[in-house]
Amino acid sequence: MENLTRQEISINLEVMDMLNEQIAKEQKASSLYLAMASWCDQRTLVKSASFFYKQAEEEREHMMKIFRFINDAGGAAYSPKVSDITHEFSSLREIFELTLNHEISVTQSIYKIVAKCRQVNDFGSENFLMWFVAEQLEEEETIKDILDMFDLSGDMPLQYIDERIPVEK
Amino acid sequence: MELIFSSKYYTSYQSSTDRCYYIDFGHKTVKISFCQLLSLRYKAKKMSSIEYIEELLTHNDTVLLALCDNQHLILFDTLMVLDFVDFIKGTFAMIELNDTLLVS
Repeated sequence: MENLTRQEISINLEVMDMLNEQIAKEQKASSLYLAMASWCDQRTLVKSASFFYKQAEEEREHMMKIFRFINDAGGAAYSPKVSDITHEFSSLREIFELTLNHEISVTQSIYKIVAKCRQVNDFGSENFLMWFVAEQLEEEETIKDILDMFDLSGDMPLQYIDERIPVEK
Repeated sequence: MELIFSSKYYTSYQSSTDRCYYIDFGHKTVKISFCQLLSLRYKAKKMSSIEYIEELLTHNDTVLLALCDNQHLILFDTLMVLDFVDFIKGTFAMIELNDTLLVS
């Protein structure tokens, strides 16, 4: 039987499913960072707000990158439904801790897809995901640096810490 | 047309000449493109969840499925839904198996 399917789609279907799940995760991250930006903005934590607005945009860019990759490869990308985004946070430090945990979970998720790519010999998708592997390590490092700054700042006023949040990466 | 997979109620075929797929739903045979087949796979995946089946059994026992860009409507009862989910899984499993055999 002629392989019609392979002529239509160049990525593995299980990998495609995982990439669709990743789309939902990236979109959820974007919405979560937007909620964090709003929390910071309302408390005049200007630099932190800018940081999270930027993060929200970046996560959406990641989502779009995967979305277009799936469709360009002949697959079917699905627009994700996002719900249960919390807007309740107790402190700026908690926000950055949540961000680090979230980024770690995204990194783990990317690693799982890369592992699946290797298992099913989907080298095209693996190659595509290498950019995300590097990007995730960079994101984790940025958040860890900010949390280190919190530790070093001790009991300094919140405005002092906010002024030192990097706006441009 | 070459047979891909057959379940209790449904049968899928591939046509290398027409470069498309066909699904025999019993009362009618529907011509389907690959992206429409992927869309059916997505729907079948949603229909395979325990929550979906429970909702179906508890409330109405029937579901109307639009397919091929809303060109066709198919009515399923719970048994047909379960069979359809297996049918789609089987169809894609056979497609993958065919791919593996051709590569090796």
